[in-house]
Amino acid sequence: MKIADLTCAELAQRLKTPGILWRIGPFLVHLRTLAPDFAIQFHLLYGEYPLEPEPCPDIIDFHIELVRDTGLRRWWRPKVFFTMDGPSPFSPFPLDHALPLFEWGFNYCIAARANQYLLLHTAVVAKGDQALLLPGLPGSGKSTLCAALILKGGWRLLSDEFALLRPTTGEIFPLPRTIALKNDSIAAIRAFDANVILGPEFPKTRKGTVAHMQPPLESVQAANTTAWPTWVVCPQFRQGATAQLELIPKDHGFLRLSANAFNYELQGARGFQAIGRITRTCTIYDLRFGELGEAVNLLTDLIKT
Amino acid sequence: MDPRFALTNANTIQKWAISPGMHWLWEQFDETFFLFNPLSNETHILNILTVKILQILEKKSVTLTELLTHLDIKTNEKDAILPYQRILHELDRLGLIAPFES
Repeated sequence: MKIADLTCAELAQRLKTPGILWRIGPFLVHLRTLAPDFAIQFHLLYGEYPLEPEPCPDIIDFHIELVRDTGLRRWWRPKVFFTMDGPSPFSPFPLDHALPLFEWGFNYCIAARANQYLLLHTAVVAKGDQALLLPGLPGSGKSTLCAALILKGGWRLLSDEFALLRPTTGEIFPLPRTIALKNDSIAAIRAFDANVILGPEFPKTRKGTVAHMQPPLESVQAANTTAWPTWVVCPQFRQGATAQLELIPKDHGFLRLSANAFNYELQGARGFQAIGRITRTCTIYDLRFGELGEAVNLLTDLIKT
Repeated sequence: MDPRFALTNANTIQKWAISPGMHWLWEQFDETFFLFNPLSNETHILNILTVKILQILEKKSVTLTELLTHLDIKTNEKDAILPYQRILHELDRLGLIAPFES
């Protein structure tokens, strides 16, 4: 059964109690919330994802609950808390920002707990089993480029945020969640593909206005198909720049990748060896770009060489 | 001058060896060497000279004078020897090598 097999009202009821068991990539998530509108947004963006029947014999990785505040302030300024296995790790959001709170909170869950993987802070797309990693700092255009590659480049989405890399083998597990577009990127992606499905815009978040892009069906269906790091491209958006790739020396590449991993030191020798393997096997580039279509063509041509 | 780097008799007869229990890992990319120290979970970036020194110390404990012989450095000039003394102390400070107690 998938989420879209439920109506929005049925999903909202399930989310209230007993919650849903949602399988996404390698994770099984138990999710509960009373937040209004969340069910409609979740239904739109994650409708194609499988729901696990309860009771489920598998181990649940994260128990997530979006909890409404109970103080007097809730009457004029309602808030919602993100909780993971009980405690709330950060400050509440306005109640109508439950979806971005959930997305950021889920990132936190993975970064804090999924240490069976080497966690690289990067978008990942793939052609077949060959993965292209797009590590970048906030504002580099990583998410926008990732969205453009899967919308028109024929790439499969593995993740907009994390490479979940098994340190012992080097394969990357997909986690095809929504792509969080921010500020000018929202209009840029709408202009790039008029058929893109985006959730509502959430203004005045900590990162400005955010809208979430629905992952393509093919990527969701291939959520259990791992891929192997083949290219690393560090994007940097520059207004008006011509798309250009520049090879990064391997020693610089090793430094960039090790600095990019959330849990490199925690992984110890396994992390060192995994970063070494990626550096040896991948070609690593800097990419300057100013126009999405040009960058997509350049990267899609890259694999033909 | 920092007394640790002075070419005193004590410093030149001090024997050095890799830290007990050390099983480090290497990666080499171009001219740069990366060493992972599993005892500290730290990664160090090293040049070829430092790597050669560690490779010598991996095989046997040596004094500074013996180290220079292994490196085929034939000089008694203080200025030429001091950098090697300094490297040994830096490697000691990082926990990669330690004074050898026979």
